[in-house]
Amino acid sequence: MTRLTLISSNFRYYLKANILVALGVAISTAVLTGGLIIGDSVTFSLEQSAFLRLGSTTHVVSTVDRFFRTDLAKELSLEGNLNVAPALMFEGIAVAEGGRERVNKVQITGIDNRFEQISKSKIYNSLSDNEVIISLNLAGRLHLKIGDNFIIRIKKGSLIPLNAPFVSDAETSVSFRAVVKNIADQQNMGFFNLKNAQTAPYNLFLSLARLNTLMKFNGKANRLLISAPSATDKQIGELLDHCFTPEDAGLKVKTLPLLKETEITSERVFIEDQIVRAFEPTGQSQGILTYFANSLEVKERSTPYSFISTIDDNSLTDNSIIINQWVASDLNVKVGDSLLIKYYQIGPLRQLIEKGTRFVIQKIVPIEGKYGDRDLMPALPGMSDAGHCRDWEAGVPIKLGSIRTKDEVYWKQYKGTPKAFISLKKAHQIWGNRFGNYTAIRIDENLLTDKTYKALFAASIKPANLGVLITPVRENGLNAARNGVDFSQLFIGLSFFLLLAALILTSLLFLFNLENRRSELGTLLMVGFTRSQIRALFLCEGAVISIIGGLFGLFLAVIYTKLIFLALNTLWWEAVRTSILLIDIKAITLLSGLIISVFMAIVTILFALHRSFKRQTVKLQRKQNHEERPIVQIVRKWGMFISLGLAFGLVGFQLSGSGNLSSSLFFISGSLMLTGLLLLADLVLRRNRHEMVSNLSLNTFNRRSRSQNLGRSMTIIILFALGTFLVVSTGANREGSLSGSNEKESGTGGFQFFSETSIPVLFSLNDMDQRSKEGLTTPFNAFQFSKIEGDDASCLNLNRAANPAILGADPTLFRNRFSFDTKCAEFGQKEVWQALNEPLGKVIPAIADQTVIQWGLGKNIGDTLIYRNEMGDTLRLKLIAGLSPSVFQGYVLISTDNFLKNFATTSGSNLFLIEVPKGHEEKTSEELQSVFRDYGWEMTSASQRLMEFNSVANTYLSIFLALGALGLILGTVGLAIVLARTLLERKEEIALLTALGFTHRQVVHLLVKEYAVLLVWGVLTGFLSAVVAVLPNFILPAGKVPFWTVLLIVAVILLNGLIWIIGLSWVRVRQIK
Amino acid sequence: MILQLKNISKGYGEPSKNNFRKVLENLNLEVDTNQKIAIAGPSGSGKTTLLNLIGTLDHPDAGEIIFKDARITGYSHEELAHFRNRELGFVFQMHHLLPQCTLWENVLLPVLPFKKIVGKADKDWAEHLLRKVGIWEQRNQKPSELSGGECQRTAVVRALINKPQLILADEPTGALDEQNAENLAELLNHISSEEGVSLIVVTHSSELASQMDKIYHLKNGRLQ
Repeated sequence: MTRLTLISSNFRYYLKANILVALGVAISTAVLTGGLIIGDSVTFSLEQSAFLRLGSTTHVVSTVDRFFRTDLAKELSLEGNLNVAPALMFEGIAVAEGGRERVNKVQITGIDNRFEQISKSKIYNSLSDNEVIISLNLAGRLHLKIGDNFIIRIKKGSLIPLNAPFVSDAETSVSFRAVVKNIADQQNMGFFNLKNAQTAPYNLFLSLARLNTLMKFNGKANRLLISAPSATDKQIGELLDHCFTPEDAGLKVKTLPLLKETEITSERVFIEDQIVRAFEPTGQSQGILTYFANSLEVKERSTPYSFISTIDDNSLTDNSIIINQWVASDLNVKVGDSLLIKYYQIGPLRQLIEKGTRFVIQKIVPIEGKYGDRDLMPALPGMSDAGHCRDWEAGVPIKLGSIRTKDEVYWKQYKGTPKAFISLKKAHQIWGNRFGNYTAIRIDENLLTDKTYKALFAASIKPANLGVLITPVRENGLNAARNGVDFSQLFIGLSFFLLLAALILTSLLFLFNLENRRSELGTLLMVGFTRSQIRALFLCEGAVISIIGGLFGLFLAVIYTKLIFLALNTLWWEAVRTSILLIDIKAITLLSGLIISVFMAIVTILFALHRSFKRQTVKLQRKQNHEERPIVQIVRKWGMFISLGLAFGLVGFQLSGSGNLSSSLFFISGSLMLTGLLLLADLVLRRNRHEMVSNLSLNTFNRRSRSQNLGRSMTIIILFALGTFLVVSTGANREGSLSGSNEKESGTGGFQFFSETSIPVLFSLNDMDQRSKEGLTTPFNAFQFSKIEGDDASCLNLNRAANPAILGADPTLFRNRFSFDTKCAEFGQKEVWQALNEPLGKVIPAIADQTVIQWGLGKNIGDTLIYRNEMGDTLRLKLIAGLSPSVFQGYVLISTDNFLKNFATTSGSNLFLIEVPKGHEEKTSEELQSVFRDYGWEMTSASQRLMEFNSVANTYLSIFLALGALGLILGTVGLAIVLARTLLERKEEIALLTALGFTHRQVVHLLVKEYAVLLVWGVLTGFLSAVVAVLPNFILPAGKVPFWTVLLIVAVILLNGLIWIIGLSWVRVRQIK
Repeated sequence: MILQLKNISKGYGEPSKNNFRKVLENLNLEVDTNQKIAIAGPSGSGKTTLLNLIGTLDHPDAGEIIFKDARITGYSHEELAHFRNRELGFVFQMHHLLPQCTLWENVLLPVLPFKKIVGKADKDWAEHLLRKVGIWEQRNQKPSELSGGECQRTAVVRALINKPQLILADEPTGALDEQNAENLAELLNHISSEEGVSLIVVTHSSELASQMDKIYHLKNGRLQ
């Protein structure tokens, strides 16, 4: 006989009881390990998703509103021995079944055969003119199959930024009829997406050549997809620097034989300062800015629509002008006369502001030599090629009535030869714009050979300076997946109560097991075992049970994970929003789960052992008055007073203050109240135990019975208080209704609609002229946003977003709209929106939803996000405030001014918030959707969008509720065990009551009342504390508490508990004869 | 006559099977008002079964129990509970005092089934009894703080609280030391005489039995 055989025989003899304890351990192991497996699996799924959306792409070279040569791909490939595929990507709209089926925001990618290397799929080979390959999701939405045809409308690419001055906006999209050649599933790049987003876009692939033709481009691309797993960003950067040519920057060069000069112009019309500076080393480079003026006026006389250029003439001062003889004669002016030039300045969204500047005529020159240089007029599509002035498509309103015959004659004879010349300095002052301050660079032809041209360019201009960026998409994708929402933590957190209930159950089962073996303890003591030896024996037995339970728990964990995944793929799909959810079971995870669970179980068993031994000691000393030490009583009492006092104090302070109600402080108050009320329960039960009663009644008898076994009574109260607290506070946090969603302070900002377009709108929707032009008659107010694409940082994406999409917003428009959860202390009481325009040195103030900051980005207020602006400079956005859940979820907002400074060439708006007077909602919605149909206008009610985000949070809360409910069920099993055990122990008492004349009904009634009071006590304690914890949801106008859900939860908890109490009491009493 | 048992039979197990064991067979007993009787017999002879039948805690297989001319064997559960409460008092070998209640509360417990609250008369009666058995000073103590003898005396007071006509005592001295057993026997004897209550004591103790008016021996399922 050894100790091991003793443990072994004990284990076998008490097998049933041990199995129950092991089951408790198995449940906690399953919950804990299941949580870990879920975390691993979600990360694994996101990684797989990254591979599926990128194919073999490791790096992407991309631009914002810029295009480079497709040949750059070949050169990079040859130079670096890499797989490089050029791509031309736009957004578009797909329309099928005669317009009945329409999908906006289709990602259209022009590819050539090189894409096959990237996609590792054969289906992309040799796409002919109108053949397209579409993704499975697009085919599904449009009900298309191979061979079907449909219409595609694509945002018209423009080599010139569409918001630049004098660019025609007549054609913003192009369309063509496509034939489906193939349908790509997820294995064939059907999920192709360069952004860190979880949902696959609607993909459409067509031939790169065809897309170039549609855009009227020649061999252009805006993406290079690189497959170079072993290359670093730096290596690729160096290769790109080496291969990047002036042509990739849109520069063109030509010689002007008459002037013996070489002229550098840009496809983008305006040339950035840094490019001009690149050619300064030649010593003779001259930057030129030519602008289109509305009129040259002297008193009543006016010459309409003329080009004015800069000229290098030392005699010109800031307010002097040289005019040609044709103008002098037209205006009948002489040197020294004053001349007014009127011109448009173009603001954001092509807002035209007519300005006038007065000059003194310095010189009148003939139209010859450098004054007769028609090359000074930039190549503006719609103007340069116009045969007549009346054919101009200038991108600004032209009053055809003011154009005279002589103007047509001038145009015919001299085209856009400038009629006047001013100094470069003055031209920059009045016509400088964010697209560039020059329209040409002129250099002596002898000083600029082809070689020096390329060398000077390469020496000064790096692709990054022009916003051509290299992104390690695979590395970013994998990092985003690995650092995304931690589902392990999330699920362990969500199943916290379930875990706790399982541990309490384990503890109770083990404790009862020990109590059953009380005589064994006595025998062991009698035969000479020391207490610590007995404790060690039982602990060893407990450890064996824990390990067996733990191992079984691992098996349950796999089932638990499968069930959770089943729910995540169906009921709780909102929480993950992915079609790729794969279970990944790692041995290390199982081992970790087992070790942690067994450790927790052993600690729990140790605790039960300690309690049991303490009880034994107490029983031995039963004849003595074993009062608690006074200090413990005092601590408990003061603990209660302090907890409740602090809870009420905090609530009072919050309610009496004028500031924002802090949900965190309320939650702390609720938790303090829970602690206080539990201590109060303990205090009351203890007092009842020692209460001197002169009047015995059934109630006092009940009170006595409840307080007799204080530990068990408190276990019931704590279990239900905690469970109710967690479940009710979670339930009350569910965003259940749309009430308050039209308030300005709510997440909709008081806007009725949220709209997005696939093709940017280049004008202001509030411009009444534009409205009448478009046929918009209903009243509305539109807030437009410029957008830079980025990662999806909303709760719809589980990946960790690094660079969310940026929106440029005018802060002055948002005064008193939306609410903030957090803000930087440095802004004090200042209007947070106004702070967006505050100068913060080298950083730019930015605002995002608090949920995005916390969960999507893993950041805090005051942290900085790093971007690159259009010029390739590092852009630091400092998060100054966190919005309460709003329609802006997923975006980072900066001021329009800061946006345009950094992303000058971004064209138009893709995002709109629409405010509509009451009663006009339906008509406005219909009208906007109809007018902007070809822009891919997608309009949703702002509150609906908010609800969509809320649905994610609600799904998390649902999971929490479901797991909490499971915990409560387990808690109820705990209650049942406690009850069954207690009733068993009270068998003699029940028999006595029967003997004394209590009827069965009375005895059951006594028992039910005794335990029901504990149940109600626990539930009420939890409920009241939960109400305090989520009080803002009850009292704020925008607060949303689904009362019925909360009430239902409480009712279910009570009913469930009561059923067990009544059932078990009845059964037990019936068993007593 | 206060109690009459007519042809009472009781057995355990299924009559059709081998495990059936007949404990009482055609047993008859008559108890007069104020009469004290002792029932003796070896272990397993059915003494406790008989007491349970008289106490209506169990049902006879056959026969009738008549209490003050009423046939109680036909009573419903509710009526039986009321009967036990009003007419009977129990004293067991173990005192079965409720550990959560004080001595005072334990004593008054039988008042509760049919009264929501204990009245003054009950309290006066309880005080009278407690003083009589000498444990008035300990009334606010709990059973765990009392001696076995004190607990058993409390149980006697509890049995008398509703002024029953009949006290049933099952080995009331079985768990007590000699001195305490003697004291309790004297108390039972004395108090039943004084309060005019009939007493049926099931006991092994010849000393206790000898203090009763009549001694029956239970043998082969019948009283002799």
